[in-house]
Amino acid sequence: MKKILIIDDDPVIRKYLASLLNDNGYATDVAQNAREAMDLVSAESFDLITLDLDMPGEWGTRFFSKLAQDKVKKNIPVIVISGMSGNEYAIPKAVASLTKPFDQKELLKIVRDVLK
Amino acid sequence: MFKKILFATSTTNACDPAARVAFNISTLYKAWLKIFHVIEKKDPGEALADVDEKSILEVNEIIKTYYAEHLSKPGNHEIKTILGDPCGRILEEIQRNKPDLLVMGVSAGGEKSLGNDIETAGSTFQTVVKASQCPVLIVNRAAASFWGAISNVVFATDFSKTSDQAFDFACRLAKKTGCELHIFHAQNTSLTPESQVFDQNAIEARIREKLRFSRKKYGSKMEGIENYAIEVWEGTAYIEIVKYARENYADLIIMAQDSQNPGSQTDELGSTVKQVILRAGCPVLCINKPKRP
Repeated sequence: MKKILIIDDDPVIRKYLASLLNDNGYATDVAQNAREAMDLVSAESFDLITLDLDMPGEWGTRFFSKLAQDKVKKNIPVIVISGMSGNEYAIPKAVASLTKPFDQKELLKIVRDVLK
Repeated sequence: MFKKILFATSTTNACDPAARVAFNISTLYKAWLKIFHVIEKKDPGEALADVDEKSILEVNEIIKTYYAEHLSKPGNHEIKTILGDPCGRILEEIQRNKPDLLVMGVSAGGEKSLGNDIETAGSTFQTVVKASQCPVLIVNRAAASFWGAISNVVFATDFSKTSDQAFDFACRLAKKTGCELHIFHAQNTSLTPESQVFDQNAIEARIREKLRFSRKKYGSKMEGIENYAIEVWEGTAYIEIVKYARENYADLIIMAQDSQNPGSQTDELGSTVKQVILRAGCPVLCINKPKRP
């Protein structure tokens, strides 16, 4: 089963994304900030990451730049899911960027395409 | 590092990326932030008295509404609106209140104005950058506004005297924040834009020479900075600086601005600085040479 890491400081979003992805056949793990996410990524392997941008402590962009410096982990595809305006410009190397509130069908289509 | 921040804004969406960064720095460093708006006098003969206190208060309310989301977060903010010539008023404000940092956007043209036409690239930021006596942080692209912290800084040097001022600032910043400091120089591959490109052996010899020079010039001054890199790449300076910053996930580019005519409103900003400001995927901090006593 493909495993997805959900990184978001909002517990409602984390819960919603986890239910949505679990219901569609994906295993999930959640992190509420960049540091927690980095610990999880170091300890486990993930097939995909959904990443919020504006989080307390380090922003999602910093998490991504750290991830990109890891020779192994840098290939994990990242989907940006954020409420910030212009978030499509935040991480040019992200596989997709969605603005909250997002369409769940659109997210699932992106996830399916990426994990095919 | 930053206690007093001045955010000069036209209160339009052209300044939104700069607003995001200004409020973010203010929150991160618990700095006092002054949101500064100048109502431009269209007619040079227009009297200051034409805009009364009531109108200023109304404009302040508009600014409060425009930045409501940012202002709703905790922080020390103040809004100031005045009438006049934006460049002159911003520079006066800097002189009077001596902020540690001026944050501004590029009020016209934005990403589309990558040419050399001063009118399309926004003349206010160019004049202010040239004359400001405090560091100026310019945020042009939306891509430059996703700014979480200062952890990776590129100091782009041309080895000029003004670059030394910018280097001192970059070192202070690196020591205060513990960030990684990249000292970067782009070596031109030809003497002038029209001349032929040097052969590769000559280019690589120049890179080695500049790298040795850079290590000698800056290496000994890096005490207290644990993470640093010194790099020289060949190519067109602004392209290489933007590229290097992107590939190294820089949060900030620091550059020197060495204008011959700092007060001039017609002379363009140095083309490398201007192009880096317009194209960078992170904020660009410009340091001017100190004013002659």
